Amino acid sequence: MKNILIVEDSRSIRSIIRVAVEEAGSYFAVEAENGFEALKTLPTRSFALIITDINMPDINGLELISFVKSNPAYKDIPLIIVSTEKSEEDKRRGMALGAFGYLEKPFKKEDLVAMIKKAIGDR
Amino acid sequence: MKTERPIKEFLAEAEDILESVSRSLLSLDEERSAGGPAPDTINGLFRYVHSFKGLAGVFGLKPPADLAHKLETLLDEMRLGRIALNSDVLDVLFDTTSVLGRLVKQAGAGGQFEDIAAAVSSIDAVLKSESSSPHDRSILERIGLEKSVLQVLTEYEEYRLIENLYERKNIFRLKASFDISDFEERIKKLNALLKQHGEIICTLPSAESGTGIGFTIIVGTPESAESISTLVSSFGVVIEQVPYAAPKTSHPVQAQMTEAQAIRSASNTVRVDIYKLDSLMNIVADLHLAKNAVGRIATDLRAHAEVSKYAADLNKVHRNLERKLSELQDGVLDVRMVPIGQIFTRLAQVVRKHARESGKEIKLELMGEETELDKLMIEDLADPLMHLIRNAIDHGVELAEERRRLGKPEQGLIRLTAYPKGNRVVITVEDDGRGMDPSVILAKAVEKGLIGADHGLDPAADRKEVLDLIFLPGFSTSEKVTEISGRGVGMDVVKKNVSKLSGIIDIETESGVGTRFVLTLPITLAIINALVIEAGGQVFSIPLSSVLEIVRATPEQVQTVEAREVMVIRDETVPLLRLSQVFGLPNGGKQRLFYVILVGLAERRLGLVVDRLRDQQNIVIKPLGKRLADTPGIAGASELSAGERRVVLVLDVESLIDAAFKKGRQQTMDMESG
Repeated sequence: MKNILIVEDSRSIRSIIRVAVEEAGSYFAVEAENGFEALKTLPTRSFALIITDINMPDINGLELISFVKSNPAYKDIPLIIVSTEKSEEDKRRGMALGAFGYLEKPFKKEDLVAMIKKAIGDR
Repeated sequence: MKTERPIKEFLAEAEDILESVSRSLLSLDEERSAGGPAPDTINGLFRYVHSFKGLAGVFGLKPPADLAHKLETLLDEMRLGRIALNSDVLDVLFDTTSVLGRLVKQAGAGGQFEDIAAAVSSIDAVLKSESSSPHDRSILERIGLEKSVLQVLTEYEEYRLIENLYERKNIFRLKASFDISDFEERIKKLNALLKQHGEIICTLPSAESGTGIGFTIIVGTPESAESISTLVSSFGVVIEQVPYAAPKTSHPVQAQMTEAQAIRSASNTVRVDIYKLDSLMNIVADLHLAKNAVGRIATDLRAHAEVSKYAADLNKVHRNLERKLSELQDGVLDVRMVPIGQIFTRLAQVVRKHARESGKEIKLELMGEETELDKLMIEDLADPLMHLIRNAIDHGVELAEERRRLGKPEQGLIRLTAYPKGNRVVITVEDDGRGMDPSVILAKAVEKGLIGADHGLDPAADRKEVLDLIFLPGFSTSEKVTEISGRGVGMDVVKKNVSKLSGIIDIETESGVGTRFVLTLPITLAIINALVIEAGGQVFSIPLSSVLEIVRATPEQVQTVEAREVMVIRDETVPLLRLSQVFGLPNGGKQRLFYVILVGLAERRLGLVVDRLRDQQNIVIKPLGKRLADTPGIAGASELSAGERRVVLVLDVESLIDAAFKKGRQQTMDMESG
């Protein structure tokens, strides 16, 4: 089963994303509450996808994306930003750093499911 | 998206978030009064509201999501420096938060939401007042930061960086490398340390070989490279200063900075852990002992003719040492002193919040905020003062309608005052509410079984003693628990906390007019000036701050009234307490001459009978071991320098007064019943 990492500081939204992940296919959702936790979780298994928020304490989503993309071990993992960014600029930067897609909260579950499938390239 | 997830999940998290919002708002208000809000606080608020919006949105709760969205917009403008924080904005923030709180409750009750139009338009009104022009981003082209760092900054982080540049802060790039196993703990410690000295713009993680993880931290600070590198020396961090071309013109936002902010960034202050000062103080106390030893040797030497020349020299050294040491002590003490205004501002939040919650209109008056007190004591005073204020709002100040009927101004008054009084500080908490009625208190104490029905107290004649009943454990705790003051803490705890600080609490109250609590405290507990005395062959010390007067007396001056020894001092009859009796020591009463040390406050004065005065010394009070900790009448122990290094007990004046007055009452009662 492929692992998907969900980085999001709201536990309710995390669980809603997990539901979408589980609906998208036979994926295993691993949750991280913040950037630090994501950094700790990344080396523990191989991930097929990372879904991350942008606005988080300590390490923001942009920094996490940059970390993933500059790291030979992780650079091929696609990233989806799920965020309520007010800032178009932050969204643009996330994409410029190499995110696969951007989904604005509140999102439709079907949209997230579709984007997950597309990002992983599964049929 | 509409979701079938249980609403309970939303409620729990939404309430958590709103609580964090309320806490941040209080800090924000406090910081505003203290010179200017910290960027971190506004950004934290923004993040909370942002999370709230996302949460409400995901659960398909439109009104809370919409209002949070509006609030988020306002906070975003604020954190990006486009709207300045003032009391109007703060009111809007507070009000919107309470609307959000109600919306959450309504979501839990089935989703019949109130109209949010008014709340939205009050935010719109503030948004219209946008007060400063956007930043000149071009300054980022003239800074020595690599693109890989600049491109991961969020818009907010970028704004903070620019702001730091305009404030001409030093910008440092710190590179740290940690192992994956403990990086989180280490980086959090490092960041916490840095935050005390500046602002962290961003923390960028990078991959390292093996199990390492690297971080590039960008910090803006007024401090120098040397001081930052000393600060973080234990983290193995590489520090580089980031060069940049300073902006030539003054920045619009800078012009808005309050004077206090301007001073703060320019000042060269250091933050010191108070416990470090404590250990310095202990060293000062030890030096006092050493100095006294030198003095003794000098005196001894003088008796020997062959070395008397050295004795004179040594004596000079001793005097010099004494002078410098006392300067050192004053210096260390001075560093510990902070204006009590620090805590007053915090208390102002409590008044604001609880007045809102209890639906009472309260005007708060602060006086003497500049009065200085030991930092540690200020921290320990927060709780008792907070409780007194809550009590005043809850039980003191009447509702507006009742006040109107009584011909009082509708707005209740709470006044916090502080002023120095000799080597003590007096703090008063005062309200213009309904006051306390001794006969009601007496009845309640009997009803609660705190005193027997045969107490023999008279509400008028024993007013002081009756009022003191409110400090008994159980008097105020079991009363109906209101959200405001009922937290299972009674006045007994307030009194205990004040006593722990060697303070005394007095009540002045008049039915229908108001109540005033008067707290009298020593300025510091770190080192105290104490009177060293002897009674029954034992040596004790008494904090000089509790001593009102010392009188020499002869047995003839002592009279007996109602089986109690009393003495007239300055036309006032004062009860006496023989220390030798209190502690069961041999009676030194046969002496022709003894001393009465007058201690106490207000109506409660007590003469302590002692055999001999020895001297006055600076002492550091050390707590007693567990087994002796609760000995009545003893506050602690201290080391004396007289002769050998001996340990003497420090008297707890407050509890001696308590004991004496209680004893007096029992004696009187015994006589009455016999």
